[in-house]
Amino acid sequence: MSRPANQTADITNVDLMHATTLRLLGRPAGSDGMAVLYGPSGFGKTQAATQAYLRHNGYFVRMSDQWTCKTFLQKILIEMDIQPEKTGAAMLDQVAQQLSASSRPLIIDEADYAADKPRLVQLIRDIHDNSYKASIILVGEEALPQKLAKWERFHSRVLDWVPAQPVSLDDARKLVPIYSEDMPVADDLLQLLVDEARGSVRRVGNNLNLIREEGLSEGWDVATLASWGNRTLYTGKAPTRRLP
Amino acid sequence: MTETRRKVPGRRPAHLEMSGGKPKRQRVWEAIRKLKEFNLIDCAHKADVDMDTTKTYLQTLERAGFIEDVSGKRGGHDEKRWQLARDIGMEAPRLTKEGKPVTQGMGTTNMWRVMRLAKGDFDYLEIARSASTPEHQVKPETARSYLKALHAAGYLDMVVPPQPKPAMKGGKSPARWRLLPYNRINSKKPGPRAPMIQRLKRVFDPNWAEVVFQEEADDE
Repeated sequence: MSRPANQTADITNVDLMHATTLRLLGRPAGSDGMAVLYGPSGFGKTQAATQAYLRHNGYFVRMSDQWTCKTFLQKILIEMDIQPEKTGAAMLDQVAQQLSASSRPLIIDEADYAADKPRLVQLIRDIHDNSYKASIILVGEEALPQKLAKWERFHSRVLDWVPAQPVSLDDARKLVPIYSEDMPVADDLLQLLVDEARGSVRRVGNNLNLIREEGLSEGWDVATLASWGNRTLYTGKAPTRRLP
Repeated sequence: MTETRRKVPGRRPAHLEMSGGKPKRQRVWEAIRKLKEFNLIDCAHKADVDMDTTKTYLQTLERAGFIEDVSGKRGGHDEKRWQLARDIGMEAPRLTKEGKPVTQGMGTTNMWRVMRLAKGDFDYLEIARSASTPEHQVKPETARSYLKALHAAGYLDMVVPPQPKPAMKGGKSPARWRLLPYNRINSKKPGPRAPMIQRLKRVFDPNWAEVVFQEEADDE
């Protein structure tokens, strides 16, 4: 089976996140360095964040409800491959110093968990304020901006608010070579996928998998709306777990 | 063994490099960050690394602009004094002799990063897809053999074995894996640095500085 040389899809949200990271990293000294990417689940935020993490050699942590300020700092230091100091203040220094020196962006996924806790919000701001030109990107659900709006001094440090975009027909075209490289899919069927996906990149991907298998077993040359007929599409009622 | 070998110059297989858990270049870099201004002897002494290795790395760092010569002297490296010019944090710059960034191993690093981030189980196609960037493409075959090696070395659990798909004329759906919170062989937590596959199918973990797995004989 031949595989395409290019495996990555620069779908809209990946591009948005990439551009945001570049803007943060390239901003003039002295301006604030935080950005927020937000949107409904399934829109491919984590995938976009992962790409930014890999491309910019960043640090990535995924928040959890259980985390305290101390665990948060420890987790970041583990990612930085630095032996954490004992106290919170010393760890904050370590994190701030490494972010300043390395100019690598810090990406915080599922940042909603932090947004509910005043001390964590304050801590992220402290990390930002204690470093020189640190870039910090928070990724979370749709309500994240409203949650953060409560913390005025945090809110004012955000350079970019980036809403994740719903999957488009153009995105779907870019996903075909990745999910269904040996079964071309016509635009009319792709449009149906996009309409049914309610914005979710993940659902389009899952359906392309489905179409590929059906098409290969039926021996289609190309999958069209007509050949698909009224077969059922995956609607996201019971999502299977997928990689970001 | 590492004790007696430590001061011997040159680069060796990664598990011999990691005396005290850190490669020589990493120790030299940490010494530089502490000293700020130094000569060859100070630096080698502080890092506890042999002179030849220190000298080579200092030359490389100078070429890449991370340190600069402040002595103004020409000629011998023993005479020179340098200072730290560009501090990029704890991690030692990975450079070739010419002072260019090393990109070897990016594919492995990215696959490992993606696996550590995965929320559930995954197959090799998903790993190749998520770990590929425009600069570094990861081939599905590369992902497959990396997963296989990590499985043998106790990092992964097979959640769903490969299953034949009747519709696909003898095709199989690939196995699905999960990264274990603790390694099955030594019960240690996986760290941020990617386990490396060395020659002879040996798996070396730079986080723990140990060889986790060594293949006896290949039965395939």
